Amino acid sequence: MTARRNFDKALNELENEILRMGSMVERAIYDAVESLAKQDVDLAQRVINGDRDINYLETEIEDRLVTLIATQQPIARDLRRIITGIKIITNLERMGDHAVDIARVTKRIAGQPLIKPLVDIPRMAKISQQMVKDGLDAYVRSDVEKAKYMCSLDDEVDHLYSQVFRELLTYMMEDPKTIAQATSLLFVARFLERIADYATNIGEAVIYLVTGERFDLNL
Amino acid sequence: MRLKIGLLLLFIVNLIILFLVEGKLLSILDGVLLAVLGYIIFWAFIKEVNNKFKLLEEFTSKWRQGRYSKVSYYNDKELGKIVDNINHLIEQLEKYNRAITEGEKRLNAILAGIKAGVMVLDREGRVILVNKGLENLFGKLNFTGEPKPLLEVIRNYELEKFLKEALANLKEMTREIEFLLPNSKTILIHVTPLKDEHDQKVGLVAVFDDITEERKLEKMRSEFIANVSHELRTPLTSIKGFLETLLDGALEDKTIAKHFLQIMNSETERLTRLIDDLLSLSKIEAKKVDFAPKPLMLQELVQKMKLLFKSRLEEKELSFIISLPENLPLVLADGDMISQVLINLIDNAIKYTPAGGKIEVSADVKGSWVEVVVKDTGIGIPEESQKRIFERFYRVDKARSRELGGTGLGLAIVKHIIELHNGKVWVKSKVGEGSAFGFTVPIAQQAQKGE
Repeated sequence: MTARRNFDKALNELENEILRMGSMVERAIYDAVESLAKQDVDLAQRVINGDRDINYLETEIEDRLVTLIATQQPIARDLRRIITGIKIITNLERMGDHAVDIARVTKRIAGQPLIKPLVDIPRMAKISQQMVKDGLDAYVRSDVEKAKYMCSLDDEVDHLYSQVFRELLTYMMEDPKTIAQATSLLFVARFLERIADYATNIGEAVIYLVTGERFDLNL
Repeated sequence: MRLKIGLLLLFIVNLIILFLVEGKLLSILDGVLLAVLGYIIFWAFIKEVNNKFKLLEEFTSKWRQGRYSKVSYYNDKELGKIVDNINHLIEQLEKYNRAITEGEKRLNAILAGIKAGVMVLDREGRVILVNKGLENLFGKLNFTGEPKPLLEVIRNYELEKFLKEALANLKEMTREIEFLLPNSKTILIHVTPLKDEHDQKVGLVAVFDDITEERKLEKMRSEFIANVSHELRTPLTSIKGFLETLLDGALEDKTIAKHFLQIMNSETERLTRLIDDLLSLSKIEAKKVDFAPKPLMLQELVQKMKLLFKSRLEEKELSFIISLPENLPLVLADGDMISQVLINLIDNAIKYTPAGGKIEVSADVKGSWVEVVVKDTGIGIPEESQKRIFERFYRVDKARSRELGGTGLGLAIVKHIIELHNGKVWVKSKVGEGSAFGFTVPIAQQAQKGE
């Protein structure tokens, strides 16, 4: 009986840690895009430094989850909770890495005027952030509907990505001088698109956790 | 079985009593009758006691459902006392109950009435209470009354860190935290620890205040000051530079000296203009200006403009077209101020329209307003600049604007004057084709027309 209680307590604590990590990643993505739009190199550097904490938290949570498997030998839903946790932190960690990638772009193009005011990229960023938030909300509330709803948001991000791609391509064709910066911005759009995909992975993991069924959200 | 024993016992007891009293044995029949009678009396007595208990039971079972009604007065020695005690207990209970519900109601009303967000945490840092204000700040919260870890209610690691710190230190603390979605908000959080009478921590109250607007205003103010200092320093630096050169010997060369002095003169003029503009802007903003709206004929004002700008229009070979309808009603406005608006708009139009172009001032009645439009065939304003063009010191092209002698305040003044008249300003423009600036002023009422 106490073993059971200990297990629940440990797992609840870890789920709380996962939410903390999620919050840090949400912040990192926001700051990264903000640093790009405002060309704020200090903020970009803060994002890059902050990733160390995120990575550290990820390995720590993972170690503790693995220890739980090894010592408690959970089955059924308990095991699913642990596996879902591992999946979520893996995806969060990758999002954090992409936030760093975006912050690096800020540093790279610092000092140059932007070839165009950023319109679609902040829009993509906002939707991706919303998806990360929704994914974690769905996780907190075990909300399968919310997880499925994210699917439609991902379509929007994909659509914006191809729009940004086409637009930047025209800039590059018109003026080869813009190629260096346009390529960087194109990467940013790509990173945001990846972040949105990782968010759908979280949504899928939540559905698996609640129902035990596989569901492909990223069609 | 019991009945039989009872009857038999009664029968025997009766026989003995009768035998003792009468001194003789009664007939069996009498005995039986007496026994039955005795039993009925006994039974009635039992029944009555039973009824009393039943009554008590009925009332007490109501309590289980949470309904506390008093036991009705019972005229009975033994039970009466019990009933009294029970009634007293119920009264007390009801009093406590009312006090608790009222306290709760009052607390809820107070919490709901507070505009700021309020959150109460227990000693483990779990959320145990939130108010409406908090939901207004963050949207629907994942909280139903059950204690919940903070991160499941509001997922913000900075907030969690802060509250943990406050819980560990048991001190009043204040911090500003930025929340991101759906819109970024700056929130000032003040926490007060809750302690019991033994100074042991019980939990934490956190109050959330949205200070996004204040921060934004502060930022605007500091940006404005930075802008003003920059704008003032630019002509000053140039004046100082030429002065130093003159002192260093350029004064000897008459032609150079004169040229320098001319530049210094124009820079001084610019400085004067800038300060004048700043002063009038701050006056209008502080509403300290003499605002005296009178019925006004726009035709006259616009004609005056034509005279005022005559030489500059001819210089740039610009045609100036006035197309005001003859029956344009009088407007209720401050003449000096509307002149200022027209001067600023036409001045801009002249500055940014290449030679040979056209400037047109037109007006039209729109409901109870007159809309005046100043349209040019100038260089136009890029779309992303259009919504910021009325901001103080906003310039599409800084260098060009300064070269043309602009202070960066003209359109801000226009906007403030028209807003003082409760009117609206707008801009429509296309790069390379020209711009149109419009504003509305109220029509003077019929009564005043008779003047």
